[in-house]
Amino acid sequence: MSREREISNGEEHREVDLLLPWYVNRTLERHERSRVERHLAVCALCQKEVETLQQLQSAVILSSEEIPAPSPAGLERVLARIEADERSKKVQQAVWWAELWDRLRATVLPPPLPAWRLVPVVATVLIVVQFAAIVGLVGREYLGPVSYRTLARPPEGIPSRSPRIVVVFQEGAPESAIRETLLVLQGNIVGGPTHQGAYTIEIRRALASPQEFERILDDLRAKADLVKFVEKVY
Amino acid sequence: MHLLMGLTKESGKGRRAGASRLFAPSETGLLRRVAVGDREAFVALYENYHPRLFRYFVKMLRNEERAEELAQEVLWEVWKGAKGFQGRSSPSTWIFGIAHHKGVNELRRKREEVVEPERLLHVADPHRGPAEAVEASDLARLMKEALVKLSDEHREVLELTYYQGLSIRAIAEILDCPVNTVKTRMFYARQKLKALLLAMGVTGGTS
Repeated sequence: MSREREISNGEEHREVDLLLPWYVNRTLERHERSRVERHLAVCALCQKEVETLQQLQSAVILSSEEIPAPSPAGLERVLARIEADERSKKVQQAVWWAELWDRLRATVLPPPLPAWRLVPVVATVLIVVQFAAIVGLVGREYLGPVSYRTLARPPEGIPSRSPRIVVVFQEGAPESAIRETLLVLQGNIVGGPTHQGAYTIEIRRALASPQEFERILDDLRAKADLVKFVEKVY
Repeated sequence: MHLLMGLTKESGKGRRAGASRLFAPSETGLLRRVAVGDREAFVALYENYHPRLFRYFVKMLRNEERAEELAQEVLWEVWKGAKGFQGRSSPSTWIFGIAHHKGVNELRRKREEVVEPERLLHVADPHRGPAEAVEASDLARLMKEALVKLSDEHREVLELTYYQGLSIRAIAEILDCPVNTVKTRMFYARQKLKALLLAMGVTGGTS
């Protein structure tokens, strides 16, 4: 575009003129600044306007700078306000947590009872505990199956084809005496000892009659220094 | 003049051409620190913006006391709202956006009240005649007097451009209007200023 054509271009002049205030404060975009500078190179009116705007800029700055500086106390006031706000926030947070705790307690836990209302509650608990104790200690004799076993009862799981006896030896009976008795008897220990010290002994030989069985028992009972108790297994 | 040169650099050329590259990210960084409750960063922002905001409000409201209160209000909102700063605009655009909103509300409220004459900031002598003005050699000083007579809208666009050193787009964002509106508002402000200067006996002013 020739200089003459640019000068005569009124539209370009008007558009550049609108940009001049920001050309002076140097905040135009790069392409806008280039456009203004191209136009300024050929437009005396705009060159003059730039000078005027520079004076205007000075006047605006001067009018602002003549205003006295603000009070330095302002900063302290704002900082005090921030401090108060922070404290208030902390209090609000504490209140929020307390309210949350109250709501949780009211939802999850029952409300606390007055002392006089605790009396029937405690009484009920005691009655239940006592009932449980009665059932546990006494009631089982009547309510549950009796788990009791005599010494002469044959031990479970052992078939009783041969005659068997239950013997409790004296405390401190020598092992040699026990062994000799078992050999004479032809007996095998097939059970025991129990907590009471009872042994189940099976007699390997066949017995001629019940009387012979009774005699064997009598013989054993006669050895009072060795045998404390002896009985048939039924 | 030395003072003016220094300030011009700070608010105009310097801020845009070189200093903005150095200071703008720093201001964004300060705002991010303020967002997490860093008071030291807030004090740094306060010291930078408080005088600028104070003078902005004084010119807008012509009431120093109220200007001080509003400047503090703006910075308080900066403290409270820094978390919401998205960084889509520069910190100065965001902060002056808050200031503009507060100033406009205040002016609206003031128009509904009777302004106390003694609380008005005395900037220009209204009895000074054109002849006396013509004798003044400092054109900038005459312009300063004329500035007082501009409308709030015209004075604000000049203020944001020349004292705050903001771009057309930043001003459009602050005023919440299209870029072309800012350009035409500035154009009419210059026209009005030219008319006022002519009335003061100054010729060959704005085009």
